[in-house]
Amino acid sequence: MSSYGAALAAPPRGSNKVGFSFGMAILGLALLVAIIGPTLVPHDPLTQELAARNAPPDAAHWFGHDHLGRDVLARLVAGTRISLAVALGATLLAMLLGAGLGLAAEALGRWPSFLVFGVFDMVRALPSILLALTLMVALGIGIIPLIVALGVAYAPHMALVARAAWRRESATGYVAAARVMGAAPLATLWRHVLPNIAGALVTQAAIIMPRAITTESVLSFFGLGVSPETPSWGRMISGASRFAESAPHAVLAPVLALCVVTLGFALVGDRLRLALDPLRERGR
Amino acid sequence: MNGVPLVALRDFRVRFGDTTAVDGISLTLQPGETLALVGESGSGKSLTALGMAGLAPSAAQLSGSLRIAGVEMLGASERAWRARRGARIGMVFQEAMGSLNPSMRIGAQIAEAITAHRSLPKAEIACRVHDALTEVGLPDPHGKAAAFPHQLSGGQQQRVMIAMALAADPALLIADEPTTALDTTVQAQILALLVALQARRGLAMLFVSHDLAVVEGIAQRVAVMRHGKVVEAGPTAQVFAAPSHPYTAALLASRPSQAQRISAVDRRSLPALEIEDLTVMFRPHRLGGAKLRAVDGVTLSIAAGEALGLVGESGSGKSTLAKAVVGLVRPATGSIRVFGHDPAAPADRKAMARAVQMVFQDAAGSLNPRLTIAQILAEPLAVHGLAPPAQRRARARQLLEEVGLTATHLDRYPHQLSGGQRQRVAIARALAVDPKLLVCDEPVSALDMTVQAQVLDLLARIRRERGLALLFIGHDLETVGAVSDRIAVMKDGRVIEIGTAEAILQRPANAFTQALVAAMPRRLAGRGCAAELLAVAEA
Amino acid sequence: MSIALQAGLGFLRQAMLLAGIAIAVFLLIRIVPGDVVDSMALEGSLDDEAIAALRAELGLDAGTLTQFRIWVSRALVGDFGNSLRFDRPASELILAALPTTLGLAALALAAGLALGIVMAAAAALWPGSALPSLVEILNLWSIALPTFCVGLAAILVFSVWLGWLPVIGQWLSPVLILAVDIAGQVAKPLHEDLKEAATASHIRTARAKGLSPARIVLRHLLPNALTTVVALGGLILAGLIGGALTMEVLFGLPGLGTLAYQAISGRDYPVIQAVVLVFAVGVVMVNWATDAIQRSLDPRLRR
Repeated sequence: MSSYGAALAAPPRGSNKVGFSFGMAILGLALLVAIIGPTLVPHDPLTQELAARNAPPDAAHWFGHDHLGRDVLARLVAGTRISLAVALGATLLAMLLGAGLGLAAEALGRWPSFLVFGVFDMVRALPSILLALTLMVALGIGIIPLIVALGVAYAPHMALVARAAWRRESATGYVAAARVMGAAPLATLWRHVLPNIAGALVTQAAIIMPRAITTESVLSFFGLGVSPETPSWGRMISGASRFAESAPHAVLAPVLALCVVTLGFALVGDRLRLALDPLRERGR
Repeated sequence: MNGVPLVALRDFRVRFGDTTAVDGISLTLQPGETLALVGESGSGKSLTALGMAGLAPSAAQLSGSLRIAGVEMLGASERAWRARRGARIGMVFQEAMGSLNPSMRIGAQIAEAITAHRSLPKAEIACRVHDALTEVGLPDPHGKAAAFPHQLSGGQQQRVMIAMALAADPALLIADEPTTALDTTVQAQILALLVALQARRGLAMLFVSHDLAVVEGIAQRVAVMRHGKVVEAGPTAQVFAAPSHPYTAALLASRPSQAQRISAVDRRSLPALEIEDLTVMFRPHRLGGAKLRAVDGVTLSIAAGEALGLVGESGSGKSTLAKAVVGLVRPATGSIRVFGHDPAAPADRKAMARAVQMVFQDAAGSLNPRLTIAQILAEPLAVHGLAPPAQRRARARQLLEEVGLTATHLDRYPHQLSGGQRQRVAIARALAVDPKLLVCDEPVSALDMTVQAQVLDLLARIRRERGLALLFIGHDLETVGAVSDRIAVMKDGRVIEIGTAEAILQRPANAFTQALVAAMPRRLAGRGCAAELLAVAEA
Repeated sequence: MSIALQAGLGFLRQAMLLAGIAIAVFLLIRIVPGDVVDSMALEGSLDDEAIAALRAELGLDAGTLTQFRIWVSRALVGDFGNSLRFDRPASELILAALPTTLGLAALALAAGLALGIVMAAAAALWPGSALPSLVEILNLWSIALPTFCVGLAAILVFSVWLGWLPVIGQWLSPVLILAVDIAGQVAKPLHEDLKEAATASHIRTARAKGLSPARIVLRHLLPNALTTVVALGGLILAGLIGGALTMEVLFGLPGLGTLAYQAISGRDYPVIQAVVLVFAVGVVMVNWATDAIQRSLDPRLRR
């Protein structure tokens, strides 16, 4: 590398590391809460204590009660489980559907690829909220339809990322070298092409997961999404927003939870992108 | 030649934090004189050139003294620099395509260079743009002025760059490797142009290059740089005839010579390569667009143990031919036989892989950045079952030693190796399956001169030890001529001349071959006279 | 290929997309077991005869393909049927709601783009200042804070607690919130682009010619970087639609979003179909326009 080139190579940014750790901490905490939280919280998310409607936080109920007298903290914790489950489910479905179909079509030839990605384009033309809305009207409410709707809505993004990574990898010199070496196509795929695609998909997943969580909240807020009794954050916000003046704690808790978790994903996703972006590996 | 030098560097230093890229150099440049700055990558020559125009990166710390026409410019304001750039100092860079704004018409870009320093009526500006384009030898100046950069060829773009640099009538022209990215014949033309312009305008020129032979013909004085220092400076003829520093001597000696040519031809065995009437089609655009013949009815053969050099400029089809030989592209018509096998036939795939291997131009690209050297070398062993897993590492070490590398590299990643080392690893990988024919597609073009010499020596040694046949592809007759028994010249997909290396280099028959031979830098140096160079340009 | 031909092909592609969406939308609604008449029957008391008559009138007794044909032929002239809730033509409701949504989107887009471009340019011109960090924060804001949440927070703070602004009917908050969101999406990629472009060879040439920084930014940096902005256009629009939807509902603005919300809660299928189709047409037109703009900005794409 010429000295000019060496000078231009940007020094690594230290601030990203802090953000990453912070983000991972948030996500770790969220995961912990989702898994063991419900067993730790003493109150039941569904029990209604009508006498304590909209009661402010106190020693026994750290986040107070909502408009139907339910313990906000318990609902918040239960909601974490739902939000993360929906996000994970939707993202995995998007990956399988999008990357799976997309790569298969790409491998089969020009026409299958043209058709499959044409369909993906159609799906992508509709903003995810709208698409999810429409799907839910058709499929009804509940967690499974929600996961399906979101998975379908985000599949095209995964497909595009997978295809771009595939095309980039297939054009590299080392894939050509492997062919000349006489390596079997499947072995080349496994060894040289797939690891990089996986990296790009994981980065994309970190972008999609928070969007899935947010979209789920918006859908639940609108009356679609999860079923009415299920304590998703969106439902909590929907119910409590009417009583925002008298019981701000009931709205604030889920809103803050939503913001904190999406922030966590954002911080982690940024660092992942920098670490896995193959173009930057050269300058290491 | 007395009086105030146009440029005077004294103890000029460029630092980036702890690293010193230019380490206290002193140079002068008189008006009307050409000074060549020669060195390999990392020598600091480009930084020095940029520093002279105040274009060093903002992270650079400069110290020492830099005087332009007697005025100290180190620490000068950006405004002071701006007044001089274009009006006093013109610059031409290596990659013309990247250096031109892709969405602005050529005429507008040249006009901009003028209006930055003087305000003139529109008509006169248009006139000057027209003159500038004519001066650099571009036909149809009117059409060129209205065109966008991507519509011009590499040589034409470089002429535009020169026109732009001289548009505001500077006294000094800094040319940073202006011909390195160009085809050999075009390189000769641009060099001739620069010499002519300098004579006509009385320009001073700083010519930066990695290739000593190129500067021999155009510079009165030369300075050789290494690791940020000037190791030798003086009149060109003197430095070339009697270099005082060992590095200069090494640079001069690294030009490919006949010593690398070995003859190990074995005409009794099956020919290594037999190509007959080969045609390979190529579609430049993904959707629609006509197909081109990248390779158009080529017939040639290589005997076992023979080295055939394939020379051509960019777009001649030589790379496509190489890919067809190893089975990466399918021929449309014609046949290829490698030791009797057909590379495109799937049944023969594995046998083919044992017979012929390839070394690519971009070594970094041909090595998977995520794998260690040991893993890269183990792959061919695994694919062909040449060594059980336990012995692969030992075998890898043997291969590394054969190409002149030590076992310390086994656990390193490609990006931790230098360009020359990476190419050696690529060669080692190719040798792992013990092939009998090695196809090398421009294997040394991207390497420094001294490293080039080392890799070519390595190839010669391997050929001798293993009795390998070689298909050596290059754009540079000198390099190709040094390693080949026979040379084939390609143009527009066809082989226009083929013969022994001697015959081609001494008595070329075809006009294009003659132009290639005439454009070889060594030949240019032999003349050293502007008029002769212009004659080459007109050829 | 000439520009006209390319544009024509692009248009064809978008038209096919639209057709596909129309089919999908139509079919989706039909997946739901039971149709509108059933849900109406549940609400009121209709005897079997009335149900059958209503079905015939609405054309729901014919086969699916026939229904589709009828729907398409009506849709092409803008007749989407009557809203079940309001007993007025769906197209009328949409036309009434359209200005609000368009206005909101246009204002937010203009403000957001302006803010984003200015911030990116400023951060590129003054790299030592706090501006680049601001661009990072803005970007983080738009990724991490959904407009939905910010809207709620704004209502809580400015309307409920501080009482400065009314909850319903005001445009300031939604426009600002959406604008900041857009600016966050635009500023960082544009800034990255400008930074990278600043080290690009042709910028170095421009400096070597002695051009002033202003001229370099305006004539050489920004035009090429604008292609980034246009490319982002599609993503921005997607976020804008979703954002406008939620903002309208939160702040009680009578736009398409509120209409969609009401239609969905009320299972008002004709209106749902119509709204989704209108949105799809809008997205498709914007995609086509951004493609055309990109092509005109970069001469290399014209071939």
